[in-house]
Amino acid sequence: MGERGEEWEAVMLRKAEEEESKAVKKVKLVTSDGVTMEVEISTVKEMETIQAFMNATDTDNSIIFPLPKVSSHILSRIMELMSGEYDQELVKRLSHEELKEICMVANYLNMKTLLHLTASAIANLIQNKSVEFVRHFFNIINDFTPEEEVQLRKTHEWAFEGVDED
Amino acid sequence: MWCGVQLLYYCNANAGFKQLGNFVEPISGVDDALTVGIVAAIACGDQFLYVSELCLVVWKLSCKGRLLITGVLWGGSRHRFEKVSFSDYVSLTWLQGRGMGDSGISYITDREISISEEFDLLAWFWFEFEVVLMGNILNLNNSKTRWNASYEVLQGESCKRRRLSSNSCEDKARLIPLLPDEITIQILARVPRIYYLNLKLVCRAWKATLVSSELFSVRKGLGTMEEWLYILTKVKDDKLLWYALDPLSRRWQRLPPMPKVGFEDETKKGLISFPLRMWSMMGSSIRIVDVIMSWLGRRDALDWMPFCGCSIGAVDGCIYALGGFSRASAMKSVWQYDPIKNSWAEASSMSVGRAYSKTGILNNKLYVVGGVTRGRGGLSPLQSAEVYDPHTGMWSQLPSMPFARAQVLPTAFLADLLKPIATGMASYRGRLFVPQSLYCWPFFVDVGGEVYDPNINTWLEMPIGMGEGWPARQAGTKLSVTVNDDLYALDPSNSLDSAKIKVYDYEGDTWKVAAVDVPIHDFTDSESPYLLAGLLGKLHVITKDANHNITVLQADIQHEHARSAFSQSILSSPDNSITEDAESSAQSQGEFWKVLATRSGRSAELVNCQSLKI
Repeated sequence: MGERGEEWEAVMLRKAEEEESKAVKKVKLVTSDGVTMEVEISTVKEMETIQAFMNATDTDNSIIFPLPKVSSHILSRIMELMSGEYDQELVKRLSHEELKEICMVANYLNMKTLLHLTASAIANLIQNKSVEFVRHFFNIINDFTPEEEVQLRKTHEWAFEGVDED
Repeated sequence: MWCGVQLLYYCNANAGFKQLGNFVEPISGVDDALTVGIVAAIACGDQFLYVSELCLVVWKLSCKGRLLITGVLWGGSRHRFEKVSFSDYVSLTWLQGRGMGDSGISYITDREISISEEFDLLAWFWFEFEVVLMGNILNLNNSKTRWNASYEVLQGESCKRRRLSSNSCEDKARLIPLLPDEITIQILARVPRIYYLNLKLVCRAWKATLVSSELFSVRKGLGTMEEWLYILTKVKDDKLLWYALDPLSRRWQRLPPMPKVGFEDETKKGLISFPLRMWSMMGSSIRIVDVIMSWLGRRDALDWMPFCGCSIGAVDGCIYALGGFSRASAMKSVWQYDPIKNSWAEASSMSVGRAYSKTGILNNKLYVVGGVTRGRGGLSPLQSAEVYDPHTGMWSQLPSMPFARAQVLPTAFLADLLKPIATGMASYRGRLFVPQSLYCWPFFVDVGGEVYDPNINTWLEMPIGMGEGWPARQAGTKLSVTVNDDLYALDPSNSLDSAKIKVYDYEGDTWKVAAVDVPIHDFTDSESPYLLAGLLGKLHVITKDANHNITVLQADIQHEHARSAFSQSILSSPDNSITEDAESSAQSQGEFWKVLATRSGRSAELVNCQSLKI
């Protein structure tokens, strides 16, 4: 199998070289609300999932890639972030909902930079907030019993009690 | 977009899934290598249903007579498949199947079907389902499967089973609704560790995740590990209390109290037989004497503080508290603090009870040397040494310190009278450097030291210059530290000089002054007025300031190196006046010590410290 694998990789490599010499391919991304966004192949380079799909699929010209869980709104936000080279300021302007959705799509499309950026932004948002804020932010149901929660809060307060902060 | 293929499988409950004959019908160029791969995977126990070049459905017999689709493998290339859990981006719909309904196949959930016992065991059946993977629709019709096994599905139990099944794996609550757990972990791994205690209150699943090793290995992969300083203090009522300092947020966090142990079976008689004189007046630089004397002088010695005289070591991401006194006895017990779980647990005990032993780390193992134990005539010093491997959880014996210098004493009388004791420890250049002293009331004498080399498992004599110049010897605490391969020690102040930091010059076998005027204020009545630690690659001195606050001072290492070379060149000059100039100019070089953090600690005394990166 190993030998076959190597052969196959060699074939793929050749294929990739041929592709490069071809004219610029277009990729059509179809969003959940039915909007088709045509982008150049270089744009989807960072979307490793699509990249992998294209590498494994032998098609001639344009590729249609349905994204049934990505809205056109979110996709255009992602395009903005990519063209803005992931500027922190752009990220700050996103709503909480957008941030969460983009993070999820970044994970699915395997966009490493975008995932890091959005995960860091969410981490920053929640890190110094109250437990209630975090629960509300993520829509998490508190499943501690009242007694457990009292006990945990006590432990937590004790750990920081009487501590001077600079 | 998708490629279909007809596969014909034979299945029985024991052997699982076997391909029958040459039924593979490639529709759109199936790679033979992949087929081989699937068969190999089946032989390994996983069961796959081939769907397309990019997708494999994973299934198993969830219980007798039931087929459960457990996941879909979604691959970027023909040879590598990454698992995608169902809930994230995949939905599956059973469309139809021959044999469904009356013929003996019924649906349990959207991922599970059961085959009733009435089902014709030798019949072929097929079913069709649709897998929707984000971005793809993969049609799984024509996956024909023949069942050849006996199945028992009791109608009365089917309800119960459904519930069990859904509780066990299907409906596991997510950390964040609608967000796959892997993303949540990616987010949590980017949150500074000081906030974890608060976030544990969000819900049970968060609490469990925040103490999981999985999260911390993601942190390691991301490079978001944090190095904290852990300081052991003695607070009022003689209790020991740990504080953790996060140097980035400069916030302090108390650690859970050390467990109360070892008081049950101790007797009072040990106290009476203490040879008090042995411990008195060993000289100001060996504070163990004062410390033990002060405890012996207490009215109610039975209330000795737990862990008094325990040694501290940090290895493999955990802090260890080793031995110490419990009432009159030295304990063997070892306690481990795991910062991930934020809790204490007992580790395997040492071979002998030890208090005031010396610890050092080499090759990710914890070495314990010397200390005192309670023998027949009261307390006696130990020459033995042992090593703890955190991966096996086992202790092994090392050769005892020979105390070669003590063997050459002029008379047997003196040799009997003078007790050798380890008064320091540094892990440096892959070896353990242990300065030693001999004492006999009321005298003590420093006798150089010995070096343990783990490669040859032998003790050697310490280089003379190192042994003679070792700045401070103390049985209990931490006055030397290796930072970035340089060995530093603190030389306490005396009537003539302020406290200095010295660095050992390995080539020249000599100690050089690296910093003068260490801002130490509170010397009196403290077990350890100062501690040294390496943190964030820099030398730190932990002491108490003029207002009795615990202060963590960071030394400017690069600055220090420049000065070290400078002052050394001047110090070696015969002209003393130039030396003074050099020191005063060193003082004027500005902010050498930076206050990293302080916390109020009027009632707290410093005992020990460790830094730990997780």
